[in-house]
Amino acid sequence: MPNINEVKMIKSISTLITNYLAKNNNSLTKHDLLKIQYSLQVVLGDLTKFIIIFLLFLCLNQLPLFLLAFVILISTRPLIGGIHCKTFNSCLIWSIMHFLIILLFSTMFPRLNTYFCMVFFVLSFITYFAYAPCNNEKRPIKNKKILKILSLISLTFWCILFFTLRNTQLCNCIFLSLLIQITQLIIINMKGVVSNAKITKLFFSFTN
Amino acid sequence: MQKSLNFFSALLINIFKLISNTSCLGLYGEPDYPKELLK
Repeated sequence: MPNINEVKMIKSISTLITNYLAKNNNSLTKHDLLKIQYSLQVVLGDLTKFIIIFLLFLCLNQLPLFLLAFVILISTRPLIGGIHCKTFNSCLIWSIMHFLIILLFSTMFPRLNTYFCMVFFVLSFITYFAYAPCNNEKRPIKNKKILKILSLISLTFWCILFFTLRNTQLCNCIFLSLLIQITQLIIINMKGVVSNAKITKLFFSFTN
Repeated sequence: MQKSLNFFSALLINIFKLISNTSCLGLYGEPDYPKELLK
């Protein structure tokens, strides 16, 4: 399991690369260097988490379901937003739990009732239309209208795929992935972005 | 070498622009946004 040293390591590597670019590329301004350092932290952090979760699911022999759940997450979360964690460790644990819950639900549950799913998707469209995208406590979101349109397009794509596919595991995976995202969207909009930190503190106080 | 560094710098700045245009990142967390860029 990664610990605080891993976070420090990601920051150190990002700073090291940024300093190297600053020395060898005179055209970069201070703001450019801050942007580069932030991007490096994001890329290295997410890559580390992805590799850890990928290896976990490789050991469980459930890579196809993990990859589908990951694609759904990547195509919905950046558009509608979601709950954030304070630390690298709590983020990693949340992410592992997210994929494990989807894996268990997808493999153990029978195919859901079609009418129930239709109602779910109608409610999802209404929720997306009303609340997406939710606020981010760490930075401002400027292009809310575009994100709302893109999130609705993304939801339409997964809705079509859900009713086209015959495989129960894949359908369950799509259903629960979307349900988790929509639940987060509702929670954040009901209680505000401050609650994200509170939720994280409640669940992961032992990791801080 | 200089061209590669310019390309890499431009790539990372473009990644930043992409991230800034999203509501949040793929997984359940993201590093602290630089305060200087919020001004």
